[in-house]
Amino acid sequence: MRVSGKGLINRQNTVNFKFDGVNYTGYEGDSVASALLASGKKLFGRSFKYHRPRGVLTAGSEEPNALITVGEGSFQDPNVRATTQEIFEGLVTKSQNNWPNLNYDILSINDLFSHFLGAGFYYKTFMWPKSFWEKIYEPFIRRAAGLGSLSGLHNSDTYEKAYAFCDLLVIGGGPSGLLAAKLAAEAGLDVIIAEQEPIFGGRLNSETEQVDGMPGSTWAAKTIESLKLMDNVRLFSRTTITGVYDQGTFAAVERVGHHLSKRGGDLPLECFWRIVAKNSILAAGAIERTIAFPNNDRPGIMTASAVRTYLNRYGVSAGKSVVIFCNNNAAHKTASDLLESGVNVAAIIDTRENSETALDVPFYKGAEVSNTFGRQGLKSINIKKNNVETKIEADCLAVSGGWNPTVHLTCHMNGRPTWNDEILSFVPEIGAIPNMAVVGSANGHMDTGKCFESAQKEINSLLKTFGKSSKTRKIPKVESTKFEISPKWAVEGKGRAWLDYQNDVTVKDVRQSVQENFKSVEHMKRYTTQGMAIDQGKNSNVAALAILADATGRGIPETGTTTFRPPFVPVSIAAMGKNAQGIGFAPQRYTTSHVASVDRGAPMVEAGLWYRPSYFPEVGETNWRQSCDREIEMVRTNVGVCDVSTLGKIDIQGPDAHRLLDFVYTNMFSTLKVGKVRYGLMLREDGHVMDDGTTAHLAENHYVMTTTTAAAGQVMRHLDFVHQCLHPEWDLSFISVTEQWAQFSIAGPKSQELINAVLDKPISSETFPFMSCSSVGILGEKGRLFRISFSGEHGYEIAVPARFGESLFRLLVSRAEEIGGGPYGMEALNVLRIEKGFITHAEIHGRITAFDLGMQRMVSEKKDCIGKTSASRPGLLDSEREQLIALKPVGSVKQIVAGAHLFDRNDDPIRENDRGYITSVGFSPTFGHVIGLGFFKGGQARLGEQIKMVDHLRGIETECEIINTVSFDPKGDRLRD
Amino acid sequence: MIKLLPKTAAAGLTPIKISNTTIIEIDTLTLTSISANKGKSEKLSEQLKKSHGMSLPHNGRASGREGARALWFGQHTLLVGPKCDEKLNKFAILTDQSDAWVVLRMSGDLLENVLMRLSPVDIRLKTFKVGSVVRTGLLHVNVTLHRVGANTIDVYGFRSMAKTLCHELTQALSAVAARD
Repeated sequence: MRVSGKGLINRQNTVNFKFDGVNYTGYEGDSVASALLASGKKLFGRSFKYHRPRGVLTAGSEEPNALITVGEGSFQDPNVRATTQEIFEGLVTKSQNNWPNLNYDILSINDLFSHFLGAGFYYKTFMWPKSFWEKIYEPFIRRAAGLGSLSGLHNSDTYEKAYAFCDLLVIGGGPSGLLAAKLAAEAGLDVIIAEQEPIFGGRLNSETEQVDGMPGSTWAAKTIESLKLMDNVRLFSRTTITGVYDQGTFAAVERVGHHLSKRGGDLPLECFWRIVAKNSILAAGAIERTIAFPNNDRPGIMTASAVRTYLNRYGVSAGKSVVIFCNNNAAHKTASDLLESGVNVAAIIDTRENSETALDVPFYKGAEVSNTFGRQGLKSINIKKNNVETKIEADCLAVSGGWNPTVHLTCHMNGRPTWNDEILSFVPEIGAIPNMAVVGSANGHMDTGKCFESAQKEINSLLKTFGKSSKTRKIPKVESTKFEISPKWAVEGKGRAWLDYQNDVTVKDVRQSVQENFKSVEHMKRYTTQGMAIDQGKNSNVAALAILADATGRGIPETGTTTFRPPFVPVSIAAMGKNAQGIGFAPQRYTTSHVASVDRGAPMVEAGLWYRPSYFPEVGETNWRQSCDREIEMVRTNVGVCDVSTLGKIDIQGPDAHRLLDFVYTNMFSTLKVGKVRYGLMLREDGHVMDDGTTAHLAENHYVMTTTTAAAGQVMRHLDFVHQCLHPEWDLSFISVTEQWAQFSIAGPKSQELINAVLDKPISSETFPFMSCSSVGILGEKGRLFRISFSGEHGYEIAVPARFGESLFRLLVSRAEEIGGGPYGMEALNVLRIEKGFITHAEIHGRITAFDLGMQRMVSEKKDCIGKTSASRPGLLDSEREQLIALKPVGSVKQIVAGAHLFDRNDDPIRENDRGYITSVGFSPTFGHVIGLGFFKGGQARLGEQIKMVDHLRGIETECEIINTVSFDPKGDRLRD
Repeated sequence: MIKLLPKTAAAGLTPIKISNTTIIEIDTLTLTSISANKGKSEKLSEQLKKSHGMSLPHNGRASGREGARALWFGQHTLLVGPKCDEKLNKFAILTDQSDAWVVLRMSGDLLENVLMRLSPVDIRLKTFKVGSVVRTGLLHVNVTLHRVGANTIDVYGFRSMAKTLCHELTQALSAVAARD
C-alpha cells in the first residue's frame, strides 16, 4: 500500500515488471520488494526445507526469505534478494523453490512432517544402506531442498575486474561514513566511499530524523553533492566491500548492470574491485535482529526497521494494521512514523516491564507475542501477558530484538568480536584489522549523534598520522535518544520459533544440537546449518548463539561467534573469474610465421603459450600421419624449414659472462672459442636437470644461450638469481632476446644449398663446420647463423630481427620447395629428434638427473657448477635408477604409447613390479616402426633385452626391445657432413 | 636483389578507436637496451647526455623527450627513438631490442579507467605522473607503461603477445565505454 507524500522514489516515472508471470508496476527507485509490497503482495517465496510460505523480512542485503530469480534464459540469475534488486522497465523475476507454483507448493507437505525433519535428520536417517546415498538419497534431497537454479546455458553476461588505490576507504555511506568521508576529503585525503545501496545515506534514508535542521536524507544528498565536486573523492555506489585481506587490500563487488534493462552487451553486469587503501573506516552500520517466538515466520512479519524503510524510503506501508513487538525503545519509532503517515498501529508490545510510550496506541509492556496466525499472510497474533493471551488482528508485525553491529569485515583477519552488555550485541575487536577504525553503529553507537562523534574522533586521529591538523571540525546537529534494551531472545510456547529463516533453523534445533553434544558454536552451526547460505546468518547469528548459551549454561561472551569469512554478500564466480573466459583464458603467443603457416592450412598446437604448426598438409593427404611421414622423409632426403623462434634466447655479455656459463652449465664453456656453439646441460640446486640447450660464442665476451621453449622463463629467472644473489660481483649483463629474433631451423642434406640462397656471403662446410656460429648478412639485413641440428641432419638455424621473420620464412619455404623441400611442423620435428634420441621436457620432467640420461660425463670434474654436489649423492648415482632408454616393438602388437608403464618380460604388470614408463613416442618412417623413449630401472645396462610395455588405461600390452637411444646415424656423420 | 619485407608487431591490429580513446602502434622506434658496466653508471649517464641529450633516468621514470627517450626498464635502461650511439659501448652493454617489443600508444579520456581494469598499479595522473614508468602486468601480459602525457600512455608488450594485448585493451575499453 502506497503512502502519499512519503519516500525517495520518483513517482513521475512508473516502471513495469513481472513477478511469477504477473505484471506489476512500481516507481523509479523501488526495489522488487518495495514494489511488490506496495501492490499488496505478501508471499515472496518458500522456505528451504519445509517449503513454508515466506514474505519479506528485511529491506537490505541481509534478507533471508525473499530470494528471487532475475532474468531469463542465459541471463538467469538465481537467489537474488528482492530487497536489493532495483526494478527497471521489462524486469522479469520469479519465485523459487516451489512446485507447481508459489501459492500451492506440493512440497509444503514437508512442513507436516517437520517433527521428523529437524536438525540432524539427514545424518541419522540416510546412513544406510551405504550405496543408496549417492544414487537415491542425495539426488532426492537436492531436488526437494534448495534455492534457485542456474539456466544450464552459457552465461551471456559480461563481467569486469578493476583496481583502485586510496588514502582512505570508507566502508558504508550512512551518516557516519558520509561524515568521515567529508572530513577526510576536506583535509585533502584521497578518499573512496563505498555504499551497497544505489543511494548514499544509509539509515538516514529510512528514518524521519532531522540532521542540521533538515531531513536526514536531504543532508545525505547534500553531502554527496559536495563530495562530487571534490576531485580527491570517488563515490562507489551499488558497491559492497566483501572481504578484507592483507596489506590493506579490500575486495568489492560493484553491481553495474543489475538495475539496467541493457544486458549482454559490452556493459558489465558486475565489477570485482580490488581496492588497496592505506587506511579504512568501517561504517557499515548495524542489522536489526528479530525475536524467536512461535510461528514468527509468516509473511507480514518483518523487522521494525524494515517497516520504517519501506515507509520512509519507498512510501509503502507494509500493512494496513501493524503491531510492533520489541525489546528496545528504538522500535517505537516505527509506530510513530506509521501513525504520522496515517497507518493504523494496532499495538506496541514491549517486553520491557519498565518501558513506556507517549503514543496514542494500545501499549502492552512486559508482554510478548506468543503465537501468530495466517498461512500465506499474517492475520492475527496472540499477545501474552501474565499468562493471559489476547488475540488481535494485524497483517503486519514489526519486530525488533535489538541491533547487531555489522562486525563481519573486522573478523576477516581472525579478529573476534567482543560482547557489549549495553547494546546486548557483539562489537568489533579493537585493532582487528590494521589501519582500520570502526565508527558509528558498526561500533555499537546506537544514536546518530554518537555516530557522528565517533566518525569525527577517528578522522581526527587519522589526520594526525597524515601530518594534518586535527582541528575540531563542525559536526552536524541531531537530536539524540539513548538506546535502551533488555534481553529477549525467544518466547516459549507451542509452535516452532524460527531463528534462521533461510535454512529453516528453529530454537528447538539449536537446543537439540546441544542435547546431541554439538555444544560449540562452530559445531552447532554445522549440525543445524544455522548461518549458512546466502545471508550467512546476518539476522540470526546472535540470537542463535544466545539460545545456545542459554542451553549450555554458558554466557554469550563465552559462547562466542562463528567465524565470519568473506564474502560479506554473494559474489558471482564469473566476476572473480573475469578474463578467464573464452579467448581470455590464457594469453596467446604467435611466431612471425604464424600467418604464413595458417595460410598453408597448418593446424596449430599450443606449446606453452605459443602456437606452433603441427604439420603442413598437402593436397591428397587425409590424416596427420601422412603429412608427418612425408615431412620426415623430406628432411632426411632434401631440406625442411621449421620455425624455432619459440625457444628461449638470452644474450649474455660482459667480461664475466663465461663464469656465469661455467657456473650454470655442467660442462665447460670458458674454453669455447669465438664462432663456436656448444650443447649444455643445466641442473637445479637439487642436482636434477633443469634444462638443456646450446650456447653460441658470437663475439668476445658475447654469448647467446638457447633454452627450451618450456623453460625459457625458468632459466631466465635462474640466471637472475645466480647473478643477483650468488655472484653480484660478476661484471656481466644478460637480457632475453627471444622476441627480438625470428629463428628458423633448416635441416636436411640440401640445407646448405638453401641457406646460401639467402646469405649475403655463401658458406661451405669447410668455412662453417658443425657447431659454428656467426653474425651474417641475410639479404642485406643483419642476422645470425648457427650450424646446429635437432634432427640429426646437416642443419642450420638462421635468425633475423623479428620484423623480417614472416618474409624470410615465406622465402625460405618457397626456395626449399624449388629443390624438393618444404616446411615441417612439430610432429615431424618430434619424430626426427626421437630417431636421434634427443631429449625434450617430456624426458627432463624434473625428476631426472644427468646420470639418468647417460650424460654423467657432461658434469665436468674440472669445475664446480650448480647442482653438482647434490647430483653426486649416492642415491642419484644408483645403477638401479630409472635410466633413459629407447624401445621398439618386437611382438605382434606394434603400438608403443606415451604414459604406458614398463615391466620385466615375465613379471605381472602390477604396481609392485613397475620398472619404468614411456615419455615420448613417434612412428619412424625411416625405420618403419614406432620408437619410444622412456625410463627403465637399470635400463642402460640392458640394451638388446626384451621387456613388456603395458598401458592399463587403454588395455595395450606390447613386447619391446631396448635399443640404442640414438636410432638414426649413431655416429653423427650426417650432422658433420 | 630480393629484399626482406618488414612487418610491424601489431600489423592489422591497430588503430583501435572506441569512444574518444584510441590505440595506435608506434612502429618507427629503435629500441636499445643499455646496461651499465660495473661502476660505470655515472660515465654512462654523461655519455648518454652527450650522445642523445638525456641522463640516465631515475627508477620508475623516463628522461629525454619525444623522439629520444631513456626509460627505466628494471635492471636495464631502454633507449627509445634514435639509433644508439656506439660511443655508449665504452660504458655499457647494448642490445638491440627494436623488434622485441610492441609499442602501443593509448590516448583519450578513458585511458585511466581502462588501465585500472587491467593493471594492478595506481595509474591516476596524480600518482603516475607524466614521465613515470612502471613494469607491471596488463591482465595476462607483462608490460611496461610509460606516461608520455596527461592523456597518453605508451604500453610496451612482448611482440608475440601483440594480439592478446590488443584484445585485452579492446575488451576493457569497450566495457568502460559502455558505462557512459
